Amino acid sequence: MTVATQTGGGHVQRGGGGSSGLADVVELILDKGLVIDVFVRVSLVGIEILTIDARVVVASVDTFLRFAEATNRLDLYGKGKGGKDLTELTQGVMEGGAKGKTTGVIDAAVDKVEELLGGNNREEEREEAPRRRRPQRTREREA
Amino acid sequence: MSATYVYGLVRSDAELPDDLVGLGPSGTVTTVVHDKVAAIVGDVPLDRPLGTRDDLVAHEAVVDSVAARTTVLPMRFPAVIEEEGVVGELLAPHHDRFVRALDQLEGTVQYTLKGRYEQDVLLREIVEEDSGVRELQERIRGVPEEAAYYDRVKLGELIVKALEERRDVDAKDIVDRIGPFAEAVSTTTPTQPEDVVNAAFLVRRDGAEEFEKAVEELGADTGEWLHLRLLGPLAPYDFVPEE
Amino acid sequence: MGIVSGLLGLPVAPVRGVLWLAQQIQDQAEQQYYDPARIRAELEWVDEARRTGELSEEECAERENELLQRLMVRRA
Repeated sequence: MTVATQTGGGHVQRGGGGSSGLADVVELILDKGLVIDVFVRVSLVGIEILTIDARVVVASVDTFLRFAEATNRLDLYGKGKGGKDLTELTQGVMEGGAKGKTTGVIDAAVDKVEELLGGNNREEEREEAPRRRRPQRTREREA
Repeated sequence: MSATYVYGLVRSDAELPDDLVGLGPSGTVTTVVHDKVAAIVGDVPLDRPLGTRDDLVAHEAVVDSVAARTTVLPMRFPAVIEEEGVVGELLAPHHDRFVRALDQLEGTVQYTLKGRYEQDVLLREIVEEDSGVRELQERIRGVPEEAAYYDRVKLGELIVKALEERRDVDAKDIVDRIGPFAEAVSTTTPTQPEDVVNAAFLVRRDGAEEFEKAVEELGADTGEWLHLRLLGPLAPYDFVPEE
Repeated sequence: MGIVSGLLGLPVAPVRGVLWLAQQIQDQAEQQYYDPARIRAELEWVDEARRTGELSEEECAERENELLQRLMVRRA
């Protein structure tokens, strides 16, 4: 059963040990682990062997359209209530980017995101951030 | 002749949790011991082929519950063998190999870390930085969906490419930062454009707390743009020695 | 039977180009249908739907079994 739990500071979603989602389980036990030839023989006796290939897909037109749509939706939102227009956003990035050069990529990205979400206006950051972010998977669910 | 399901292998002196529930009709999980190695086994449903979601979930739950307590070599699903063959065909002929692998992994446990971009944050950043993207967006605006089909495909392609370029950099940063807390790292190339990292870390049990703390700190630093999931402790799926 | 062959297989027999095209469409549709990466993405989507409560536990389990069947058909 899937139970999404938060531990510690709660910045990382936890799973595993019987509480992973099926997608994770499939990846762990169908792609990996020990295979011994004696098991293969049994498959001939009537139990199907399932082999999964983990090949990397080349992004398809479907994927491209999905991202085009997401990007356009984003733009519409930016034009909507409380959103910044492109010029303001661009300024934010320039500032964030310049600062970032001295702090390493991850820190730079964090800086940049902070700029994007709030700029210098802390009030706005608090108000805007939760709506703009992807819904966080923090809620616990009964198994 | 009856069939037996094999979940994994442990040292014969290993202690297993007593609340394991298998995928067979009885749900029972026991061990078959041969010299220094033991197979974790159970019964098999005979009236249907294996492979339901409950089968998979049960396999993983047994293996990883054992892994939380002791070193286990996990079997790939589905591992079925005739009951009479567990010792004669599985344990005895491969005994030394199994012992070597268990010794190699002794005292370690796997964690799998998966990271995915917070989509909107990254898309916004890409729109900012890429004038080609903005141009295309302008061109598409107000044009009926059908008419702008190729422009939309092109736009999506640019976005996906930009995501993948960022991913290469960010994934390396993440692995570089967490890697020092692990004995070994094994990374898998993500399949979705918004997936950043999928990495397995082999961690010493006595260093697990520190490892988890490092991941938690990474999560705190990157939470605005990265959604991290940590699976584990798990069996060392990605570190089973090849023969 | 192929996904598309049921629709296109009957009346167009002699036209080679059309058959070739139909075959291409069918190949692509099947490739996508059985694409492990796509199936995994759908499994993740079901996980998400279970978390948010969008689908009930029964609906999720049913959908998951269906997706697993598709993963297994490949090399049966």
